[in-house]
Amino acid sequence: MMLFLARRTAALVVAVLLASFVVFLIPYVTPGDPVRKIIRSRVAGDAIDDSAVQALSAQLGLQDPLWTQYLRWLGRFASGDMGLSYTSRTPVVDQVLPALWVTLSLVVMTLAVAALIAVILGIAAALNEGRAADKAITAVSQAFIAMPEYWLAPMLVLVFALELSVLPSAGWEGPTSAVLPVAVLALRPASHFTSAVREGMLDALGAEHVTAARGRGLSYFHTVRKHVIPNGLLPLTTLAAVWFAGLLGGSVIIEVIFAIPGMGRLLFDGVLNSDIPLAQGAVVVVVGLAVLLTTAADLVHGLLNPQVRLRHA
Amino acid sequence: MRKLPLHIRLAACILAVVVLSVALAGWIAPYPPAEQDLASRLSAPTATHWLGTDHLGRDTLSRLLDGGRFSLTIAALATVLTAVIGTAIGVLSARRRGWLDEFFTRTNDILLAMPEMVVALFLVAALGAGYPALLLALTVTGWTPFARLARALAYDVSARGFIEAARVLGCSPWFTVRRHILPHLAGPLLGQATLRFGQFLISVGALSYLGLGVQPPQSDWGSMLAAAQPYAVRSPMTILAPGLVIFTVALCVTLIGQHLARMSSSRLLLATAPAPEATHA
Amino acid sequence: MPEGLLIEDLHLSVRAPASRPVLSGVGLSVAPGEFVALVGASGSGKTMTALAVLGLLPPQIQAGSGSISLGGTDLLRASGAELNRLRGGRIGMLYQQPKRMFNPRMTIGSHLAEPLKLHRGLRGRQAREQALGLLADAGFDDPARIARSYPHQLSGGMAQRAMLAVAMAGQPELLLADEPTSALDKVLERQILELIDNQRRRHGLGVLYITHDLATVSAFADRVVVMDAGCVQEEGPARTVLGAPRTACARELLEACALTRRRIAAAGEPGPSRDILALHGVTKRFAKGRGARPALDNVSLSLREGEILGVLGQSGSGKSTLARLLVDVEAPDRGSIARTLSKADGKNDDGGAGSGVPGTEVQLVFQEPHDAFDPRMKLFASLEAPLRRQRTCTADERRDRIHQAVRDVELEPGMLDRYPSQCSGGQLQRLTIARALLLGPAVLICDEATSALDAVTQRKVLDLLLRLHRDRRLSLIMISHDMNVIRYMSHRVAVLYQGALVELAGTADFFANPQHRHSKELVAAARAHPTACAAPVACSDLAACAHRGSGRLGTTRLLELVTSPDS
Repeated sequence: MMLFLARRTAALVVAVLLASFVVFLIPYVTPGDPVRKIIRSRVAGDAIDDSAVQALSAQLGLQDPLWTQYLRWLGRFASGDMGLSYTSRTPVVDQVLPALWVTLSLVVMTLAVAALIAVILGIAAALNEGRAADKAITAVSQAFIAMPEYWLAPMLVLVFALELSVLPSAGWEGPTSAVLPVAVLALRPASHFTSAVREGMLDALGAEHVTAARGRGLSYFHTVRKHVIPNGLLPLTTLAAVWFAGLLGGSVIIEVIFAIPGMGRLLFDGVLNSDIPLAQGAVVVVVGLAVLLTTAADLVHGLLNPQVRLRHA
Repeated sequence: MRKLPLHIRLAACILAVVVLSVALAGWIAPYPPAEQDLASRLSAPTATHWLGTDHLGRDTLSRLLDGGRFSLTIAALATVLTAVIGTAIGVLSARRRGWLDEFFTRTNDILLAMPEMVVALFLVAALGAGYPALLLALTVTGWTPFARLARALAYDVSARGFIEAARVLGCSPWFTVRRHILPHLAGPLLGQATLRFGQFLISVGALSYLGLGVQPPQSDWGSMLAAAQPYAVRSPMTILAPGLVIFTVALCVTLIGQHLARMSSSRLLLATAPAPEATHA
Repeated sequence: MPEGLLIEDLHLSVRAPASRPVLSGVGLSVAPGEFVALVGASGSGKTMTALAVLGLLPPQIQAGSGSISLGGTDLLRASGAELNRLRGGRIGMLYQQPKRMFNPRMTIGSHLAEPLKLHRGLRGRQAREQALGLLADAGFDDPARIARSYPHQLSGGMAQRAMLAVAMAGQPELLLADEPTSALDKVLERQILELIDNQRRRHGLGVLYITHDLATVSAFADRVVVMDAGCVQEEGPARTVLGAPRTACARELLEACALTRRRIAAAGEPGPSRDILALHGVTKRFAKGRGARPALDNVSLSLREGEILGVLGQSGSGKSTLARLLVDVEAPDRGSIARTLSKADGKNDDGGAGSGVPGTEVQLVFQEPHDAFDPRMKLFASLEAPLRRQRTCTADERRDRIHQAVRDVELEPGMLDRYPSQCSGGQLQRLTIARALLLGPAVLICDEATSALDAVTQRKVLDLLLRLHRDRRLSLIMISHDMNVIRYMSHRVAVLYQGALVELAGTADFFANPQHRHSKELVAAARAHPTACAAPVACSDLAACAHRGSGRLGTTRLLELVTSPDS
């Protein structure tokens, strides 16, 4: 188990380092003078003449080899100095941290809602396999897999915010403002989760040890509660891990549509306005977060499964 | 050949109609897609404009047919590209094992943790918006499901006796892969590819919606949705139509893909199970 | 009130629309303390009978007329709650695949806790102590460790013993055992049977033991019930049924067990000849890390030209690894393999051994014939594939050679149009041999080549191999866990045990006087089952064997089984 985790984590640390290196390279590969771009992200002053550029370039070590620059950049990043945003001229970190909390709460709420729906519907479908309820649940969850969020969101806004005026159409203030974004964002994971729970439950129901449990005299409900549901829900933990990353990406479009001041919105603005420091900060933080959450979900999965836990002991 | 269920046949028909009419857009579209008619802007569906017009008075149906070319081509290209790359990597890892397998598995883990949309945004930041960035963004993260599926299947098939038999009988590795492994992978991979096509279609729409995909004056279904947003209240049709097309196509493709995946998995099972013993040896 | 289990005139059928009978009028009884063997081929309805007793029939099967009662309780008409009390409480159950019958995410201890709480109201410390006692009764030396273990940490034999502990937890009056040992080797099988027999004697337990293998139970069963096609064909005291079977069905089952054991004289003894395959100190290790046992450990062994070498080993002994090394699919970690395969006299154009394609002189026949062919290719294409590598061969030549090879293994070329799934195991195994022979190998390695075949087919394939050995001067390595196959075929026997070569001797010497502890165990286990005790030395143990079975099986019949040639 520890070895397994160590290997996974090592790979993911490498992933973050790789991603950060690629991000670090943005000012060098995009059109324009990298030195000027970097200076602009480090120094507050607006108009800088050529002699000042020369001086600052030497002072900031921009003539050093690339990898020294990278290590220095990484060190600054780790200590929370992500440079100045081109557009707002304020430190990027001051924009990133509040946005991080917004996105994190959006994603966690979404995942919780999706998992809750999936557990209820998936179990209901599996226990009624082949009957009308199962067919209806399966059909609906299939349909929502094909549902584009960027279409559903404006439609829901049209109905609930503009026609009925029961929910706010945008922003991130108060619990009501979270309803529509979470609902839209949760749909696709909920559909995927539901089919995963259904499959998992059917596998668990068909497992031979369930027959054996009945043979020991356990009642049907006791067997389902103790031997089927825990095993049937296990695939959900793996899937949830995968979806953390997917949702952080999916939240970009939702945050843009609903004007939510989260990481996705920040990243989008950074790219749209060619605000390199902002984009750099947002990408590294989002990727770091995705990696962190994926590892956490892996850990949970491992702890719940003795075969994984003990094999890698 | 077993008869296909009704909903699959229906999905296939709808898909065929959409693809055909998009392919023949130049001949069957009632108006040129860019032709503006400010006099009848934001019109509701009428006999002259079947699906109404947008804020510049352009015919929505004609624009849908024209925009579909971009959405469908990019999604199809991305599907083929990721399927080929993913299958190659998956089969290679399963056959070679060792460090190569470990390397690709870890890469897979890493890419799984990379949000697709963030990668796309990053690439657009680095390369600028447009075709190459879009395709690269979809491919970089998109090959992993194929690689995982191909690897798992190739692992299973490789454990079968006839693969070892081929080796003992002196068949070359490439011959074994071509004759014995790939045919067993084809069904499930086709199902997977169909499913992924639907997801790519949605992703392409999303990126275009954010203005990172197709660039004006060209348009596709996603960018039509984005453009129609401010006028949604006045003319719901402008936003209803493109979204409905994406949804319908994605849904049809998903249904067909799931059917294919189910069929191929049951066929795989059949191929494994020995038939009842014949009477004599 | 009748005691024990009583099944009367039980009818089961598949529900409409398919509706066809599964059991028609089955009647049998198990008195307290009685050991009844329910024997039948697969598909004869044995398992359905057991499931009907437990009230756990699959939903597509329905019970028709008839009755099942246990100590006066009508099981077919019992309510759900009553049945729950019966299952695990009054009836314990053993299954064919014990490892799959445990919840993979629960320890053995928690499995034991369930019936203890449900049927005996025990919790906490009391339940724990009981659980440890039950595990100790099931033959575990360290019950505490087993209770903490998860199912995947147990071997098949351990899991079955743990399952026995679970089955006994509710202090049942009847034990249903559904093929509990068919997935285990003979040594473990005997151990499990003894444990069950012990419990029977100690607790006055009625045992209904379901099996397809008469040999297994002959020493333990009081009565034998033979089933076929959903009906009881023959029933009676074990001695009567085994000694003088009245029905064809019972006779067939008996014969299937009594395997081929007469050596064909024509196979002859190999003259003094050179070694064509020689292993020197070969070690192969798969699992890395500390404490991992190598799959093969310092094995030195040679195959002489024209010899049939038997390699005897239980699962996990490294015998398949040996095969893979010999055909060059794996490379040894240490040691060397010398191959001097080409004919000394150079010329050989009669298609005999040694005229083969370079690199394919050692060929392999696998255990599972259905797995040896690509299910998506017609058989002809499968046979042709390896030949296509030889550019010299035209399509017509290839076809002729394939047809010739197929006739050589006594099959019709017409069947090459079929897919593997349309053929029987025996046919496919012949085709695997034909495919291997197409390349003209000098050595043919048969890795459990006949284990998946039924007794009659097995015999025919073995005879085919002997004929090929004789006609083509083909050297054979027979790898098997089956003493009879080894004895029937080989000139010399090599015994592999935990990756090491522990014994190498002439066949007769080996069976008469095994040297190594493990070889002795193998020969002894084979003796415990009359049909498996093919060695002449077994006779001296027959009296003891019959005595163990409390005279359930006549000594005469045992002797007959051992000595009579069966073809």
